[in-house]
Amino acid sequence: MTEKQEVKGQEPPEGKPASQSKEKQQPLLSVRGLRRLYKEESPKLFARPGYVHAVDGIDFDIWPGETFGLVGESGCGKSTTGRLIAGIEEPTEGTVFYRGKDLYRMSREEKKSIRTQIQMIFQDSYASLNPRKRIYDILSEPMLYHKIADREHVAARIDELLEMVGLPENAKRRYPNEFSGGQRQRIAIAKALSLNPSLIICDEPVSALDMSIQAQILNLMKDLQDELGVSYLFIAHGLGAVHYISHRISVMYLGKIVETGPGRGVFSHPAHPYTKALISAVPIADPSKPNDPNAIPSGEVPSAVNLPQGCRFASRCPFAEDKCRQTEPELKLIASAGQDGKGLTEHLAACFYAAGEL
Amino acid sequence: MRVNGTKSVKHVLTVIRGQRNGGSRRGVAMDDRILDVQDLRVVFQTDFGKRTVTDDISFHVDRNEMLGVVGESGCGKSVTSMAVMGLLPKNGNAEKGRIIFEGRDLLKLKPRELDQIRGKDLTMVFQDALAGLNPVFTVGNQLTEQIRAHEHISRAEAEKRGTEILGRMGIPDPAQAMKKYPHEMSGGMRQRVMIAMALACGPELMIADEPTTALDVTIQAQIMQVIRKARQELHMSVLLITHDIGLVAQNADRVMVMYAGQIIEEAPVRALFSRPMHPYTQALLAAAPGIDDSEDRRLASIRGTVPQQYDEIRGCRFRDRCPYATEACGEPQAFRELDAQHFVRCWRAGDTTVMSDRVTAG
Repeated sequence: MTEKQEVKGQEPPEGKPASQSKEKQQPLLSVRGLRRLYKEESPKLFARPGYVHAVDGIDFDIWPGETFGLVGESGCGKSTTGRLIAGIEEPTEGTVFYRGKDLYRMSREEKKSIRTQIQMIFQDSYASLNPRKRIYDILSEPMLYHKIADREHVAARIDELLEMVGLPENAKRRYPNEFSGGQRQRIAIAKALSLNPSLIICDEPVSALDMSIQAQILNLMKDLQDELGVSYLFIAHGLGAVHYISHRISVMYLGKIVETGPGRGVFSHPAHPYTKALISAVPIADPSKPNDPNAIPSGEVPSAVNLPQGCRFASRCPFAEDKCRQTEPELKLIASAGQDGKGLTEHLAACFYAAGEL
Repeated sequence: MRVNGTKSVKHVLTVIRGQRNGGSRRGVAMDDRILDVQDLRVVFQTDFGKRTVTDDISFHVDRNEMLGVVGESGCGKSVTSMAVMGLLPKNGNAEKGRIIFEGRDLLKLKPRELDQIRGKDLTMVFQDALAGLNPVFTVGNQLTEQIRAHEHISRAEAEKRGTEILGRMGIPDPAQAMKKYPHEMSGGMRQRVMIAMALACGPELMIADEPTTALDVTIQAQIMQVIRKARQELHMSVLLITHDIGLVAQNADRVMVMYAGQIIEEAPVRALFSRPMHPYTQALLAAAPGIDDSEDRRLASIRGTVPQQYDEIRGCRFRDRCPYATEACGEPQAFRELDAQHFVRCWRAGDTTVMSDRVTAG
């Protein structure tokens, strides 16, 4: 994703659909020009309803075995992005390619098989686990439905899954309410893993957990990735957790990606003023390193209905000039640590100031 | 009590407070403890019988000080603040101990006497500002009501003061904001209104229970700045309750760590972060992912979970999860001073040569 692409013909990113030999060179997931608008909830009586630009044209790739972090504040569109990829919602425009295949233009059968390969974990695992079912049933049902395992082997597979996520074997006979928040998140992970997915979308998976439990879950997710090679789309507002688990990170603001690059690059050398503000607003857990009070961004996120012309961050940006208020900056290369043909080392930011164009 | 509209809120509030305190009282009490909680025990009647939720809670807040209270959910930090405010639910009861606020035991006051203190000298900001504000009244209505409940001033004067305070809280166009209903404001703005209400009568102590937990990090930074500024200008004390150790590190003067209904460590903020002594505190600090961590750092996680029936545990309540636990940890642990002003509830804690690295290595 070197530049913002206007997708009209909906071409798969690597030319032709996947052939076996190209497997290695192909991203697992390619998001192209993805856009999702919602009709404004309560417009004035006779006014025409506006549209909330939840996700407003974003592009990125996720490669096999990679964790791609998506950060931003509430309302920036990060969760909508996850839901679009998981197929819970359909985009207004743009599309998502999974191994070269368009996720929104495939037959029912194809969809069913591909949906097993993209799984999702939510923040509130309690809401996603049926309270009337035992863990055994919660875990076995999807495997039986998708014929991942037959009745004979499903029990063994459940034992294996529970062991993988660090739960005791007798957990399968219990109900979701008998577990703590951290344990329930382990069950949700086991459920996601049961269908052998290649991508798990994790929407704020640790935000509701206490610090010591959060560390357990993050470490578990890292270990499972090393073991199984699964990719994660890790969506969260906690910068520390995203930094810890992600290989690459994109920062979203008002429906757009404003900065993207390797995790270390984005967080240790942030280029976009919004990323800088975000990072300097995180209280450092060390009293001898005071946060810079001058770096706190002023104002609040503007409405996603009446988007400002030009750069969306301009109203809060300390560097904004006339050009920023007129033209919307596109993602430009800021730094790159070599060529790998995948763009994994490229650090991009959508900012005239960062690109030295002011 | 005439309030000159051109004067700053800071001035207004200090004048008000000076009159109220009669100057001399404040002068004498300057280096006093504003809040002194002694041996507090809170019990709850549950379906399963009586449960001791917090026990042996003793701490104090000095004038002009910010005391941070950290701990994970269910550790008793909010229950402690509710007990101080006299806001325990019906089935809860401060069974034992004293809560001395400005020389008076709050537990012994009549409801009417308590009402004179609460909302004026002793105020509270909650996490959920939407639940704390009445949805059918405007912000201005609630703010002026709050002021007039404690001070005999006219509606117009109260409105003027309310508008000024809202402006001070960083709310753009405060006169307009006074006319708004809570749902018409963003979460950050609502929290500013809550803080304005807490500050309106110039409190001596403000309890802030997770004041920024529901907010985005840039808004959190703005709100904390408002609280810091108000604290400086009003010379008030703050009891900051949070699960975010970063927030405590950046704002508090002194820190208290709670675990399973007990205070397990207390120290000046720098001492606590540079030399945490309780194994739980050490683990808590090592479990937090930072944004400047090196790539190969592995987070230390604490095995297991917080015990459910912790009031039945005789000895150390962290014992089952502690890497240093021994036989002697089964005995009740004394809260002892290991360093100047550094208290720990762990008999092994002095033994730092054994204990310094292992937890952090995870």
